[in-house]
Amino acid sequence: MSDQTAIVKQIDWSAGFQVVAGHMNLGLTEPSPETKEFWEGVARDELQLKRCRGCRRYLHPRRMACPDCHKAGVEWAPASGTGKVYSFSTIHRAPNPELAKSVPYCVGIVHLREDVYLFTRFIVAQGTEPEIGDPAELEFRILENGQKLPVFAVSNRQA
Amino acid sequence: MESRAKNLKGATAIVGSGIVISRRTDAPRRTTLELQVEAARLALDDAKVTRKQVGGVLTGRAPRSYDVRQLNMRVLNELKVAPVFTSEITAHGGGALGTLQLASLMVSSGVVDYVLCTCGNCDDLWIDSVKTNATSEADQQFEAQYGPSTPSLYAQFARRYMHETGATSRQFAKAAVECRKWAVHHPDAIMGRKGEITIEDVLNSRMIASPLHLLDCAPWYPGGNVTAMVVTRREIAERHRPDPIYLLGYGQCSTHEWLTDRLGLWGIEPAENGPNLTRTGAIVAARGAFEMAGLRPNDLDLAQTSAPFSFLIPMMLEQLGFCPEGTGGRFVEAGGIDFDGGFPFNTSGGYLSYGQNGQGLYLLQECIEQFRGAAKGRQVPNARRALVHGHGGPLSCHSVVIVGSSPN
Repeated sequence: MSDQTAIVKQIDWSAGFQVVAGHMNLGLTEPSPETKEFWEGVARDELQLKRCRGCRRYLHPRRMACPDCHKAGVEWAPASGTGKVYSFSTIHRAPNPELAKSVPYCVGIVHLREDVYLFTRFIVAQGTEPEIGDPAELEFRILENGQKLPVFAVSNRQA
Repeated sequence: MESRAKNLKGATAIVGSGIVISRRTDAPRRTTLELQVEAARLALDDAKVTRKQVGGVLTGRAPRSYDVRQLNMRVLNELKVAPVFTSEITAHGGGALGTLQLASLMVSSGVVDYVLCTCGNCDDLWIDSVKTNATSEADQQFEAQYGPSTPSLYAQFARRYMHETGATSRQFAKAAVECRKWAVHHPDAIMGRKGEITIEDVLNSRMIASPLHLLDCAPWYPGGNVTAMVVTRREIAERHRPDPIYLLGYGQCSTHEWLTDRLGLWGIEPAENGPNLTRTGAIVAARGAFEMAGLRPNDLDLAQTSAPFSFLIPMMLEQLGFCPEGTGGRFVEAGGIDFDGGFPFNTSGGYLSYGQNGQGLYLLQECIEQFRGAAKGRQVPNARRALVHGHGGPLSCHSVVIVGSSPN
């Protein structure tokens, strides 16, 4: 686990963001009450997924219904926190100045043991890249935007 | 599978088109709406269709430089037309070609006679796409906080494609090299004036988001590019002009909004056999288009694909049917799309060298120029049939249209 336990900036996705341009209120973006528990879990260093009450399949935390058994409903279920690197890219040209200080950094997709895919930051040894299939372990880190997020440390074969 | 849309082959046609290109540096700098209206007027004039005759107006999505809702209403409001059927077709970059497909269904049903389709990508007239695009391509809640750039989102597909097929960065670079050769001969292609490049130039250009180098990435078109077209039934089209462009086949497929959600799709094509990043909706869209047209890839004389990154050229060559699945890299390497002697692919230079303009209608305009023998320096001999593929989102929405200079 990371020793960065303080939450610098907790974004309340369940309330959404007001988008304001000058004097104009452009409305609400990304209100997401159905993911409130996910972020509450992150605050406690817990990774939770959605799970279908019918077929028991694990689903991405965003899902509001199982695509195959709509009526069964979904519930929150803890994730093991282990998975494998499914794909990745090391960013050398950051999309904004806040992130430019961190280059190179690696973003990618982890394939969890529960058969769910999450976008994430891969924590790798300096100067290395992961390989597809490398084991990845859950950690929590405060990233550049000040938000605590689940990330995955890669036990790098090259390191 | 027998296509139920086969009777639509050649039943409708493009009877007029207009294209307006404007650079950020033009003085005065032009507005998006102004360009939309000008392109629409050019298309209507080219078709010899009056505003009174316009039965339908379809627009692609609003460009981010003019981020209005219901762009179709703004356009028809300026043109002072009164269509009985109108909508904005919003499937990211796939929506532009989507307007033609819906227009074809509208006029072939007889509900209306003429449909005006318009789409423009003018983002870089007023905003900096490089700095702002990443925020619109990623899921704000589950992806954006990790700091992805747009190239890094597409790189996830590239890395899987390399892993699953053995395609190499060198093969991707070769695709970029061939695009540049076409662009040298296109007056509006922004990289054309920089001259040809080599595989080594691509591989030695700086890394942007591995495995994508600078020259593996398309530059944004530094301005606006708006294209408008008028679609009508074949029998009407032939009264307007001797050389309509016939719609022979078309198809679409949209699979997701965010990259990660693509991996939450299973049990349905193109993820029939499970979640993946290497079989896109282009497979389904192209299959539908070819079935409707009753044609095979080797019946075509040229093709245009929306490939903002070099790896998408071999990947789309496979998915559009020009080579077997898993062999795109080798196909490019073996000269399959060589400017000299290969299959004419991305004859305007493609996104990589013409400049990225997230709409498919201008790719179709290139086909029309080829059919009419107006593609100086890059003319494909006897060009009669072409395929155009447009896509948007991180490979989310795909539209394919097959056009021909004759109805069969």
